[in-house]
Amino acid sequence: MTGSFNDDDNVGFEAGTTPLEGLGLQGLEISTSPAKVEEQEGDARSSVITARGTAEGLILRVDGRVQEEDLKVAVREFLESRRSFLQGNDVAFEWVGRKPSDDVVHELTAVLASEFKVSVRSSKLKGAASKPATPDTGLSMLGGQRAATPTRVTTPTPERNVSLFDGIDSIESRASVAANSMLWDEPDTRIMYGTLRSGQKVETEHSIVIFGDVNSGAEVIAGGDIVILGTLRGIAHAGAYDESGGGRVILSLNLQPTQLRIGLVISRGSGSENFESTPRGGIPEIARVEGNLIVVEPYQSRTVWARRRE
Amino acid sequence: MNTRRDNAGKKDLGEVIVITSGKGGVGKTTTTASLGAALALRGQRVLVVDADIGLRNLDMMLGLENRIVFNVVDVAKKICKPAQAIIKSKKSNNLYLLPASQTDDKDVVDEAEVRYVLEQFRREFHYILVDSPAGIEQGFRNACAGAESAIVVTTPEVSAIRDADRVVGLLSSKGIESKLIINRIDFEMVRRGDMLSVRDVQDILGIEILGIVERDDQIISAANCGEPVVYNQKSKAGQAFTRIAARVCGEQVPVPTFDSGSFWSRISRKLGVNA
Repeated sequence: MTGSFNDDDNVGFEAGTTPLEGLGLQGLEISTSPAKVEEQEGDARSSVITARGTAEGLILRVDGRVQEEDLKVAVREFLESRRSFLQGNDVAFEWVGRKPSDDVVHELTAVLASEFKVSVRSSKLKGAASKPATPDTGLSMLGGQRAATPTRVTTPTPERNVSLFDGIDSIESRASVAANSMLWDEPDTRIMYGTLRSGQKVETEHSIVIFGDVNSGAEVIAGGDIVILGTLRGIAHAGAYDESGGGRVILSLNLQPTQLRIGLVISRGSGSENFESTPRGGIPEIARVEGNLIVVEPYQSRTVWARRRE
Repeated sequence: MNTRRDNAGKKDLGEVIVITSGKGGVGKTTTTASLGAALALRGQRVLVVDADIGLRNLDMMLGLENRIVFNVVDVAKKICKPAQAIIKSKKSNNLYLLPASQTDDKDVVDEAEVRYVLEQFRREFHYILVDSPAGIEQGFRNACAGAESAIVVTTPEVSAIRDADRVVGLLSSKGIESKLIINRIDFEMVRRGDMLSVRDVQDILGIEILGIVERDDQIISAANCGEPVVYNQKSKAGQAFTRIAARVCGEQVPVPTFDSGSFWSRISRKLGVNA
């Protein structure tokens, strides 16, 4: 078990950070790679805090180890630059390493509410949820290093540096059915029946399944994956609330999009000029992010989440 | 668009059908005039209503522009009696026109007033065809008010199809079912792969096809003469509108598909040659 999780950690770390460098995701990680350390230093301020879309909604992950004053400044800066994106939403604080004092949390909550109209859903230490504290995960290692909370079972292994924020934790929290099995479980997926026509738009913070077509001029936006059991001719935006796309995918039985977006990566479709060559009853295809590009390939049932785990 | 019109003497209310497209210039007004004339030829009493206030054209298609005294706005504002505003067609005793006002604009009437106007005529006619303006603004909403079903006209062009798609979505959100007329198709271009085929269009829009009208030069001369094309039975478009009228009345008329290609490729297919 130890081995498998740590493998996941390393590969996922690379996949998670390469598409969008400088967005702050990597700064939080304790990494063995010197290149990553440099990035971390170059982007120290924004790396204190990152935003992340999950099945539960938007999470602000904040490094609780920094000075309280720096923390307040960083949070304010982070929200300022994303004001329009976050306004009116609610977020959950997830503290990394250490949870600051209640006073600080209250103060930040007040600032978010008054200045940014953002309400705070919850505030907890990363990993402090129902997740069982398994001694060999990177989390407890961090806990051990920082000696933060007494509830942790700590087994310090200082010679092994592990990247933390790469999706493995979301696997753990989502796979509530069987934590160790190969199953993912996302209970909030939205299902729509019918064709989305030009001018219609569907937005959900979770994944979405559409029984029908998405026509040119229509738009689907999802925080999670998008599965279209029909033809995609319009715009699909998966992983919309996660800058990196969070490994999200767009699947369609017949993929002829105007535009595909995953996270912040955008790719144009082939356009309508070659209408006569559009294949009818084409093969199902899946789009995902690789590097800075959206890659489209024929769908094979194993590839999707195997890649996400890798 | 069902069979209840077959016994014409029945004293129930006429069916209101809006003819719309989203995009302009695809042939809404021509379709309204031709379909109205074709239905009248079948003995149905038909009123065609021009809802394109400010840009009226339907009167010219029917050659009635010099007979207009009152118009749809006058009826809506109760300036005249309903019967005073409608104009009988030159060619048929069953076809009447309710013209639009040319001097007002679309906002001068609202949806409730349009419903009121249509109610005034529903007892007198079997079919009321409302010619919608292009666009999806107030003029479109007015035209759709009171309609029970819709005919969406499109040409086999991607821009027209996207607009038609939008309109179909808007209509279905109002609970109005749409049927499709594909206008101005050129089977020779389809065969060469230069034009979307009927099947391509249907794949995208996914609604029932009421008819297919081939591109026909006689449409233009007919419009200029103010005489709907259905009176010329040599015209392919005229034949197409006659078939569409039959389908509107509930008859089962097959939609001819020329998608299979040219005369020669069809012959050779019949002979078992792989063309």
